Amino acid sequence: MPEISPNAIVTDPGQLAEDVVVGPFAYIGPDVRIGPGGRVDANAMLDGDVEIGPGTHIYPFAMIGQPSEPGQPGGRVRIGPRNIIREHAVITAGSDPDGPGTCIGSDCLVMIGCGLEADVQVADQVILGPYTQLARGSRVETFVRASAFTGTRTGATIGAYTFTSGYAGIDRDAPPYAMVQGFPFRVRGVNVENLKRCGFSDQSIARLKEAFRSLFNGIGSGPVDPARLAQWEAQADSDEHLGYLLSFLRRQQQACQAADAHDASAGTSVREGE
Amino acid sequence: MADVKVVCEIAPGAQVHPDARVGRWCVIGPHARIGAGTVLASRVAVLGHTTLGRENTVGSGTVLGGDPQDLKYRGGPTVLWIGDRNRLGRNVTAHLGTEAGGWVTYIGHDNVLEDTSHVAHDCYVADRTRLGRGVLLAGHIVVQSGAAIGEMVGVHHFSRVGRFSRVGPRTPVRRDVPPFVDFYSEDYYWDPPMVRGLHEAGIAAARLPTTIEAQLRAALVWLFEDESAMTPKLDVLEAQNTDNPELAYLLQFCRQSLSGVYGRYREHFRGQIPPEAEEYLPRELLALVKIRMQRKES
Repeated sequence: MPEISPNAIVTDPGQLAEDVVVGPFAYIGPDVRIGPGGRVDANAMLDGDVEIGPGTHIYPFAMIGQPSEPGQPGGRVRIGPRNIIREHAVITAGSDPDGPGTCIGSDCLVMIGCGLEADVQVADQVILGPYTQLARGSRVETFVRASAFTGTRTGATIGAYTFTSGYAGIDRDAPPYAMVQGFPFRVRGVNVENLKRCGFSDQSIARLKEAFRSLFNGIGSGPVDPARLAQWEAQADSDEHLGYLLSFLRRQQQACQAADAHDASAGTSVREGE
Repeated sequence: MADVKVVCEIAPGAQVHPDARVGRWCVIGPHARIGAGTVLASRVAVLGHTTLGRENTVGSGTVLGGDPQDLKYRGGPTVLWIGDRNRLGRNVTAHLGTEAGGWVTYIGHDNVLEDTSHVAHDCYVADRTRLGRGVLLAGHIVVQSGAAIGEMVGVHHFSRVGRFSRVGPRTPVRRDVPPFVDFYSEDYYWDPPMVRGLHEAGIAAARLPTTIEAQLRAALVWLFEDESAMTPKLDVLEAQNTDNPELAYLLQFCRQSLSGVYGRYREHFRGQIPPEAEEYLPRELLALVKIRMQRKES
């Protein structure tokens, strides 16, 4: 049987694994499923369609699974194994009941006061610093380290292994392997320390540094020069990380072009209407 | 008899003074100690080896003594020690110390911690300080007496905020803030945070004798009026051999910061008992910390 405080409210204890621990005054709704070794501390609130993997620890006053609009039907929340969700973190339910919902991978640390809006996707091994705010539909790729007060724009992506400095505003997609700072953010260089910790070879890091110097022009603000990107793509290179960086930037450029085309067509139609 | 409202959970072993008031839906762990006259509003969690002194007020949603967010923490019996007459707002968080960082997170007396402020592991917050809303003290930070930190300020690990200084709202603090100064950035994204003048209210609050204050003001203006190298100026001031204790403290503070890593003196004390422990901690707690650190080293 799960160990549930007599002062906690658990609507359906059958949804909790055998060794789950629930602290006093916690509320766990009827559609919440918690895997083995899960722990929910005092005053935490889990409601809606929520699935939490094994070994995940929810700290006091965390709120998980409520919809963005009170009273509206919310979507899913899927949280993988071995995550740590700290005090006062708020993880909102997905916007579409049939959609993928708000997802967190495995082995992540979500620090105090973080806010994850609807449909946010967080990959594995991510650390979100205190008061990080991820807007609706944002994506955070694997091994990202977000410092305190980082905020993202709706739908923005933070690329894998990237470090965001404190107060960074991710107003567009942040490239992988980078250190980014400020608002609008600038690419300050390669996140060498994180890459070393993750076992990247010196050769890979050197290659990424070379590409960063060329592509981000020493300033790192604004979009990448298409000609330079094409030049790097033309070079046959076996480094998988460099390949991922280039494909990420190519996708970003295509998305920008599509958005520009959409804006242009919308502008034309408005003019025609006038 | 403690004024305990109808529904709250106090673990066996918790020491709650008979004159303390504990609100509804509070949770008090088995190792917590709460002093006389302290008032906990509703939904407060006091966990871990936490000591709350006398006459503190703690707002709703506050969590004291939670595990440190440092991933090196291994669940040791580390401590959060809070003194007397502090005012903690709503949703404040203060975490335990870590084994590697000196075992103790310390909050002194007469401090004001406004709503949602956060004191992380191994911090030392001295007396009569003010932490504004959403202030984030990362680990191993010292906030010295009388300092005032504005709203939404994030302070980097191992930094110090000097006595009677002021940090402006939304200023990223990445290095030591000297005492008695006004420290902020005009545009917190791109304008570098720096000393922008003297903190007049802080100097007034320090109530210094006139001569000492005049010498201190002259030194502060000379040190921070431009961005020229600090070391030659410190050499000149030190050569004057003044007996002004505040000036000596200022010079020592600046010299220490220059010797640190990226302007952070406390970086020298990674993995050790920090020097502030001798100054701030009660004798019994300091002795306990020393024993535990010796055991860890052996």
